[in-house]
Amino acid sequence: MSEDVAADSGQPMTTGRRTFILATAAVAACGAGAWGGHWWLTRGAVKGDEAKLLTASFEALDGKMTPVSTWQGKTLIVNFWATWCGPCREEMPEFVKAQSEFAVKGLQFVGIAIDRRAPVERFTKELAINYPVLLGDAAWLEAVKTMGNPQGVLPFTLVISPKNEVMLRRVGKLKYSEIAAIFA
Amino acid sequence: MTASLVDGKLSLQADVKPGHYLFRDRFEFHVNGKDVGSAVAPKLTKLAHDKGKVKDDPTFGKTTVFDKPFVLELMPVTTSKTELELVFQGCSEVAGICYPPTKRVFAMTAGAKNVPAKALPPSSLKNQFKPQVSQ
Repeated sequence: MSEDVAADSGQPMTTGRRTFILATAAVAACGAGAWGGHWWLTRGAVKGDEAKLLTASFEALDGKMTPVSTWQGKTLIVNFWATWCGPCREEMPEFVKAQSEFAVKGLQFVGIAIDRRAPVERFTKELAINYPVLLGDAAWLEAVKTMGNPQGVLPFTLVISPKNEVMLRRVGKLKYSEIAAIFA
Repeated sequence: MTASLVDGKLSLQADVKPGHYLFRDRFEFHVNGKDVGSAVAPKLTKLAHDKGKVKDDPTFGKTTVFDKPFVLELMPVTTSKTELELVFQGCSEVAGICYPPTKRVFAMTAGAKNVPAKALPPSSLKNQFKPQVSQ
């Protein structure tokens, strides 16, 4: 990052200037991290509970056990949510829009509801959710603590590349514009 | 959150911070190991049902939440030592997140006021979810 800045400016870089730029970059990284949760976990190959998530199977609303690996090779957005979580429900219409828009570019949303079947079925119908919604055991709220969500709160979303690298972790709401930026 | 046992009356004091709320219907209470129901059980608590704020939830309709500090006056107890276990659940409007059901245990002797919860060992959330989440 600092090298790019120096190249763009066309100016020779002094030691003082380099230090300033590195310090600024560090502060910016921390700021971005604080905004998005655990900045040191922001990107990289899946491991631990994330790897377990990608090989796990969940009960779908049709009752069939469905492995997350079904969507291997897609840009996978895994959203942990619940009907009792207002912020979760608020962001979902944007997910529906993004799924319609970017499916052709390889986007696949998967919702994992930490909830009972009946309210999930009702809500997914009401909102015409256009992506698979699976039922997750409450124990997954323990597992997400090692994925960048130390309090185990909802909503929590992971964006995973086709190469199984975590592109984004979000505790709290994820916006359509952020999803669109991934496919820009 | 603290609990008190004064003159045989068990009460719970909750300090809800601005921008946060707890769902009234998601409280569960166990007194001395016995399930005594939820905050909406009329025999359990003197909580006035008009207290709290009504949120019009798009999925669940009108839902009562506590978004300010409150006190629940619970059932009278006759034992000098009492253990109150409760599960509650809420959200933060300022952070745009919801917390999973949380368990607190208070051990009190007669006359105890504003007793903080006991430290609990880390446990699986699965046991804290039984009425609301069942997989």
